[in-house]
Amino acid sequence: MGQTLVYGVLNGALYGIIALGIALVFGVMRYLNLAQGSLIILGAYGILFLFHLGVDPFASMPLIAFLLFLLGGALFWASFSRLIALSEAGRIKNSLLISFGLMLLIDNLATLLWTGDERSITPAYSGLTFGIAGLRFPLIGCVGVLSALVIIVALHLFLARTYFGKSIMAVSQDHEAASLMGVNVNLTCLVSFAISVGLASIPSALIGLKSFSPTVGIQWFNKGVIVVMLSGIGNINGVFPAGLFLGIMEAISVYFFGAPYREVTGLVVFVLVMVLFPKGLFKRQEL
Amino acid sequence: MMLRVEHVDVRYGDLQVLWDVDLEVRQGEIVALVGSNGAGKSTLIRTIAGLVKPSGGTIHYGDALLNDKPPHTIAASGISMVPEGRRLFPKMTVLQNLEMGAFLRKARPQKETTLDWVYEIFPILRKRSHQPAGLLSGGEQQMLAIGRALMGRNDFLLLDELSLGLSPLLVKQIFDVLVTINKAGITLFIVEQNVPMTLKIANRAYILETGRIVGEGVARELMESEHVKAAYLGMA
Ligand SMILES: Nc1ncnc2c1ncn2[C@@H]1O[C@H](COP(=O)(O)OP(=O)(O)OP(=O)(O)O)[C@@H](O)[C@H]1O
Ligand SMILES: [Mg+2]
Repeated sequence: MGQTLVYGVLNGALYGIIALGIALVFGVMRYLNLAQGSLIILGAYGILFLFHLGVDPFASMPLIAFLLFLLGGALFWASFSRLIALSEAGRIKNSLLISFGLMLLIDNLATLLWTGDERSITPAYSGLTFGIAGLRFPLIGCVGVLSALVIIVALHLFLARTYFGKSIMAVSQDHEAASLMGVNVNLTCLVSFAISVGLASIPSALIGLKSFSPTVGIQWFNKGVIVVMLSGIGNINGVFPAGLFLGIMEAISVYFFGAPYREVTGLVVFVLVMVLFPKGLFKRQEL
Repeated sequence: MMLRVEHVDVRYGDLQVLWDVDLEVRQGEIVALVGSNGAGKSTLIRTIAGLVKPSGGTIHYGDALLNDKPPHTIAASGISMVPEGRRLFPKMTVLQNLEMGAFLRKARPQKETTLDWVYEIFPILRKRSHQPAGLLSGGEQQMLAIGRALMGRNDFLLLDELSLGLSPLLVKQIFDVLVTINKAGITLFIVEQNVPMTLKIANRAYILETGRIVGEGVARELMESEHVKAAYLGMA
């Protein structure tokens, strides 16, 4: 059981970091970016490519993050920027349509470039584990949790302390009022979108070190969206605990009912939470 | 001349709501725009702030043409606005709202001094500084909205319907503050339905009816005009 929980926490951290990118864009712009999972997988191929050139996957993560950040900015500029003028409902619907197309495009491009075969990045340390108190901890998973934590704290400080971060929060609460304060709303949205795509690089590495193929992005996106809903929309600080919650619930169900029911459990937990706590598990009392 | 609006038309899609609006505001003045519900007052003030684009005419601030500038550029060029409905950042604290008010680059270095000034004008905001803005009373929210606009250190302030939903005592208090702010050198353009109060503190006023300016003049004289008395002061 203890061992099960360890895996639950490690998976949960991955869900949390996937959800972070989705939550940022949804919180600020009310865009739902279906292609986030595909961008994660694209990043994984990038890391795999560099790995074949001899670069360690964790060492290439910053470069991939930067490239994804640029790609995110370009995607926003080319296809999402015009939606800002729409109503909230209009932004959700249209961003879904655009990002669905984008997802198909990226998935097919990846299939074309790298075939549909399942890939995995396998550095020498990929199977290593260490033991504490009779439990086994996979090295990569733990590094993943740590990097997720570091990024989440860094993002939190960026949003809470810097003028640019504060302007992102202001735009998420009232973009018109923010523009009256002198905030360039379009630029703020572009950078938020780019950051969210850049954040995909962490799950890129973690999923890359497991296994991936061109079309699995949407499955990871689904986990991310469930976590965003569990956390409560607009509550970026709740995303990581919500991810852990989902990971642990899945692990417990695997322990009792076996692996085939893992996906079902996630959905059941999701539905239950939505019925019992419609505002999410970790949302502060609504004002 | 600080602000010059000439021949401005505004439409929402096919629906035209402002026709050929002309007005001007000079440095140091308090100018009021009065008119009944739906006359187009908010539309005009939002057009000046850049939230709505005019379909015709020109808006100048000093020598700068504002027509095609986005709201953040207009804010940076010297115009702040207290929007209708306050539009605070509800999940931020009072202090965080005020800090957002000082987002403009020129306002940042003076943030602490301006903050002291705003707290001096509205002492209640200092007491509430760590409360979320969404939990304030209506009057406190309006004070915060004004304080947030003052934090931008701009010389020109657009104020939309400050008195809406506030008790007469609070309205009096807020209008006294407007006079203080004006004495400190800030030019005010006030949109109001509370015509008697507004005309008392304004130097000049314009009357907007169904999208057209139908009257203008020195505020004191307008108060004596039969049309204003009948239509806005409840004196038939
Ligand atoms: N975004 C919009 N889209 C379409 N029509 C609008 C929009 N905003 C305002 N209108 C219409 O424009 C007209 C003028 O509205 P506006 O809000 O400027 O009036 P107002 O004088 O500020 O009224 P109030 O005293 O109620 O605040 C109204 O007929 C209103 O229905
Ligand atoms: Mg109005």
